[in-house]
Amino acid sequence: MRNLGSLTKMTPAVLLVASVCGAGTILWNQRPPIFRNQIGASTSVNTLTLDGIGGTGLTNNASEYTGTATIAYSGGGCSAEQTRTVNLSEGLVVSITHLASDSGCTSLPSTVISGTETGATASPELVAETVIALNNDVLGPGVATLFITTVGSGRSLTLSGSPQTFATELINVTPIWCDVPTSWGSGGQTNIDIAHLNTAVHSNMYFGSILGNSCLLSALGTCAASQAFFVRAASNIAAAPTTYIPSITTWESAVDSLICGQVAAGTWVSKDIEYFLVAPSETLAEMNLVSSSYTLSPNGAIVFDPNVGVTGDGSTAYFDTGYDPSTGQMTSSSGYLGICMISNTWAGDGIGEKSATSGMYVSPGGSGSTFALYTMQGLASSHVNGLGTQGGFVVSRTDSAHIQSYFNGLPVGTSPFPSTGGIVGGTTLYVLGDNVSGSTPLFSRGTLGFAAAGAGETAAQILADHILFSAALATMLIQSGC
Amino acid sequence: MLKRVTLLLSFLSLATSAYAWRLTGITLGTITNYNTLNYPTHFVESDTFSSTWASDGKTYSIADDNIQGWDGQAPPPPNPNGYNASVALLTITGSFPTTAIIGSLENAMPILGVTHQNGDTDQGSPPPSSATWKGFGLMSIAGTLYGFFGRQPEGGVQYYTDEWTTQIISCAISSPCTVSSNWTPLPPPGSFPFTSPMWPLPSTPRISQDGYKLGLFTTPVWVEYGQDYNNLTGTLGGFSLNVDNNTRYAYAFGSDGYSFNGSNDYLGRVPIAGGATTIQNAANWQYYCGPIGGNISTNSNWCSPSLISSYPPTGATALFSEPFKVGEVGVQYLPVHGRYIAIFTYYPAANQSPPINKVFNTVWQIYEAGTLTGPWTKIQTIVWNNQGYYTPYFIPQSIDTDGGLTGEALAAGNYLRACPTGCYYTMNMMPITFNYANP
Repeated sequence: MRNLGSLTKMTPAVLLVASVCGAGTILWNQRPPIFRNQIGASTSVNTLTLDGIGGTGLTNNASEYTGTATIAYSGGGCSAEQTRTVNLSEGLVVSITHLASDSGCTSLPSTVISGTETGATASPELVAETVIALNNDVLGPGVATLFITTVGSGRSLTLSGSPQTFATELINVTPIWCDVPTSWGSGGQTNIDIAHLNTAVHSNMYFGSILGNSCLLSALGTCAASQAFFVRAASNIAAAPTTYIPSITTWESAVDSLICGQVAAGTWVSKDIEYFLVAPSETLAEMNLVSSSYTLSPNGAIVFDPNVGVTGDGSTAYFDTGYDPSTGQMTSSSGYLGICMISNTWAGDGIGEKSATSGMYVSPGGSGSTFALYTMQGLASSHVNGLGTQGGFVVSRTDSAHIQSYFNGLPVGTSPFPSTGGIVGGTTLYVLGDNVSGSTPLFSRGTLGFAAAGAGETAAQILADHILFSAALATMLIQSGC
Repeated sequence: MLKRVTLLLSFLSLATSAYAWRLTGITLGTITNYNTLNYPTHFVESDTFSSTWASDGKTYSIADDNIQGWDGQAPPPPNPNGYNASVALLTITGSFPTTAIIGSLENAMPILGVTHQNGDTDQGSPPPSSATWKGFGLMSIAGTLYGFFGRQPEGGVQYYTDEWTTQIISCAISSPCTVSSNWTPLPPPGSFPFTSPMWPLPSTPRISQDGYKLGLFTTPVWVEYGQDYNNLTGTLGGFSLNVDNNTRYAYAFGSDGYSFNGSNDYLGRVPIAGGATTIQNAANWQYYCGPIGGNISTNSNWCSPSLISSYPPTGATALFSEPFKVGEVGVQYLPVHGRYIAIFTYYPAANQSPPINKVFNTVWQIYEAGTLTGPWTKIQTIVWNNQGYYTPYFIPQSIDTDGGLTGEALAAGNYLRACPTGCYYTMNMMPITFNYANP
């Protein structure tokens, strides 16, 4: 990463974005994103009315920019990342990037965009125009996005060709200010606003301005798993409130470190579900970090507190994960179930499902009790005294004859605790409660920061997870540990 | 010896560092429930203990909502409504650091009436409703105690509450303050409206989350420095307190809401010179309206009272801003590293739609800054789901031990375990270690 010394404002999210800049200086520091050039859903157009982002800061100069654009892009079949860069007049750089994950595109035109500026005055005044055409890896085959930013007023860009279908939405556009030499005119850091689209989507994105001030950005997320999550979360992120502290970019950083840390530790692959319940919005908290399946479904009087967690009421509130352990990676010799309780509360069952013959649950303590209960695929519960109710509680099975209880990453109780692996699942797991087959659920009144389940993990892996979970909480300013 | 070495190291660090120290969080020691420790000899059922280290060397504290009173003395039951004094004045004794604090009733403040006083006449239908006086920040300045008091008609969801009028009531310590008539001005009890408070209900009041009227500059609390504000020695724990122009002005933070679940906090100041005549005249108060982090000594960064006479406050700068998570706040200067700490309380369940009444579930938000004008940085969140601790106030006298490496705070709450005899809440003593980093 170069030129970081010239970055004057950095949020944690900036650290997720690698930059390689030319002569200019890239600055970016805030949300909310800018959406001013949004094109309607699946609209075929050849005239884009763009209000532009110009002047100082994020001033919205209506009718600043009108352009006609065509992107002769046909998607499908790209098996490896490809990039095409076309320089338009005055050094305009247009880039299209394909992710390796693209599976649909078969070709990429050699000439993606061509066009001619109109309405521009002297070259120094039109200090930057940027067109970023995104590929179809997220928005769907045949969908591309055109985004144009400029400075000044009365600009237009005419791009030849036939109409094209544009993106349904531009999401999470992070404003970026490129520094320009004062000799260009008014100069300063706010004279060029270059926006990149949805950093959560693309692993590589090129953009640039005239005079070769091109910059390379990478996606939101430093590993494929977190990038995939941010792609799924993009619309929820865009809808999340931005008024809470820490900022949503801090949350993004926490999530990225959490996911990629587990990937590096080898524990990500074992998870079927994982919920980071400390989030800017309940919608984000309810998302399964692992996959698009098993979004939490709230029931009863759950209290969601932005950036703090979710709290049950001990009588009605719970989340249904929709996840039946028998359909995932759990077997009679492998299983993992964990929660992080961030309040010191008479907690009750924080996660679980059970029937008369088998079950799995983690309970930091029922009303007034001083011991924790850990059960995995059976009826035998490992009772561990004196743990309190605040921290990380995990039960793991790595063979068919035992389970192991953990508290804050370390083994507790009888090690290992004899328990014959029995029936796996049969009903869905509840969070902030215990799904009791054929009976009334059990409920927690605790405040949860995490919940997860999947295949069994070793002691070393659980310790690694504990460190990552605690770090994610600390990033969100919750220092209770997990 | 250890303390001296620590102080020396801290001093050397300050002297040689190229970076400013910052507060990174607090670590709470074993929390002691006052009643559990002292019952039956001493007990209390009160809340919100804003204390001041006064010129006479004593630490005085406000105690609100004295349901059982302090050792049952505020005033002795029975009373007409089954409640006791709305606001009382306490003397807190103990050598710090310690949890062995003993509170003694100084004045039951009978002129402020009892809690939930019936007969309130300005609350509309259905009359009569009831009202309660509440105490917020208490401060000793030049030998006089100044307390912010607010009149709260009962209604709405208590986390947001409703109509407020706010008044500073003072008493010269030598008068003495055990005599209620030595407090001035004497407001009417809760059953009568206060027609001319310092901060009246504006003609166009702010509206709370649950639709009730809010006054201006509500639930104000003085910024704490040292003994007698900062003018007795100008030092605390051997470190200078003369910062932020505080030898000329006394500062207080007020919110746009109630004690809890407000959304913005503003900084006010009043000249110290002139004493009560000046301090108790709202026309002498100004509100910070400069940029965040701006120069606190620049007069143009302060706006006249007229600029905060409507909502939203014209020009006044919200130095804390987070929807329904700020409000009444205890702010203490920690001179050892020249930082301020502020702790807010809110009720997350009350922020639901519709608000849920869960008094045992509170969250603290801890902020720090190098100057009162900020920027204030949130550094820690503490969840008290179960204990419900609220409105923590630092004891300035406890900071004198080492200038702010350690200290002690008093917080109300723990509804579930308040009193051996059963009661809503009590005082909880919280030893604190302040954690710093450089940079």
